[in-house]
Amino acid sequence: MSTGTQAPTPLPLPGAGTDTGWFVYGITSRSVSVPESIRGVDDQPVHLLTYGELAAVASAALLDRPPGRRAEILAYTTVLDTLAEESPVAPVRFGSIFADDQDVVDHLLAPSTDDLATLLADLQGRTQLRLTATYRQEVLLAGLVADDPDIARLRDLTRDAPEEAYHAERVQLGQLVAQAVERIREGDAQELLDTVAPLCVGVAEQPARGLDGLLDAALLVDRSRVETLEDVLEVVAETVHERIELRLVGPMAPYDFVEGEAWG
Amino acid sequence: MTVQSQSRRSGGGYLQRPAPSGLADVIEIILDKGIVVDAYVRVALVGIELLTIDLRIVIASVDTYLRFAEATNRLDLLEHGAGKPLDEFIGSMQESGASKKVSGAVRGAKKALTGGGDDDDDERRSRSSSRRSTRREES
Repeated sequence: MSTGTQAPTPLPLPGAGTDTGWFVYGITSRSVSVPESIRGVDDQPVHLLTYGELAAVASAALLDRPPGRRAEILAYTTVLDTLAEESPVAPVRFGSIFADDQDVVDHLLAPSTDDLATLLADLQGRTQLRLTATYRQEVLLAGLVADDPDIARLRDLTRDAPEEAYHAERVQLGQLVAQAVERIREGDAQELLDTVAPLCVGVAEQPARGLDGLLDAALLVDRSRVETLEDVLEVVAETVHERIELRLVGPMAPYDFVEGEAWG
Repeated sequence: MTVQSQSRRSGGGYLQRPAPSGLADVIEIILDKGIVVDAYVRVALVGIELLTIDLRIVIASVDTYLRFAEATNRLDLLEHGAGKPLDEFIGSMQESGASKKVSGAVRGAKKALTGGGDDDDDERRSRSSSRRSTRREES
């Protein structure tokens, strides 16, 4: 990530005869101004490559640079999230590198100019937040043991046995627990979504992860309603806190709302 | 990870509002997201899609069932704690770190992504174990 105190050594801008390409972060409108202080991957200055009313947000990167990780991912989101604070920005998939300006136009901006303009108009004044809900696993599992005699029986059978013993019963126990969790999860997730959906322009759910994941959803929200959403979720979080934890991350760039199908 | 430090009541709220800059969050936020250009474009920076697949645990597998069973069987504190007020009970469970062990595989996989020289051991371990998990169909 850019540390900012020293000016970076700018790479040659991509073009014929250079060994650099454009690392593209996202697409925005040409009227957007990029704050001077923003630095992209490899601490490079961020440029706007304009085409009509559109602009690709990009910085120079060596084409043969080694694979990136932490620093690159953070630079990518920092650039996008910072721009998204003020302007509509449509993120481009992390790691997209183009050979030169013409390449950016030919393969990114020109083929879908109208769709991109529409997308940016739709994103105007809106922001993304990410809502995740997680069960307090011990409470969840304790409830299952208390409610389901089969689970309780299998647990008693296998709990103190050596690890090699009762393999089939362990699998069965796990399967029963997984099925029960899935049932509970569906109901809880739907209830949560029903609560937040009226406050959102779009909801994009992805599979909740892990044994205790309940919900993982990106929300596209009018900026003016973010505070209301927080208030509503605070009430929900207080109501369910004994068995569920709610986290709300953002605002951030609309990573989940650039491909159309996620829109409500 | 640092999530627990953001726990309920801090800042007066039950809703956790962590900054979006945590790397684990950030990775989950951007994986598989954004406008995809045609196959011509080099997605050169990371083998990130591969790692995505490994991160997602498939529920319907024997490995997963065994982990559920293990988690259920580890609830020893349950019987002793049943009479306590729920809040206190939850608190003690969290301190015991039980949930950390259970979801260790997931966090380990995340660590593989987040890199960092001091995580090398974790990284190797989580990578070799995550290879066993079933790959996602749609990728």
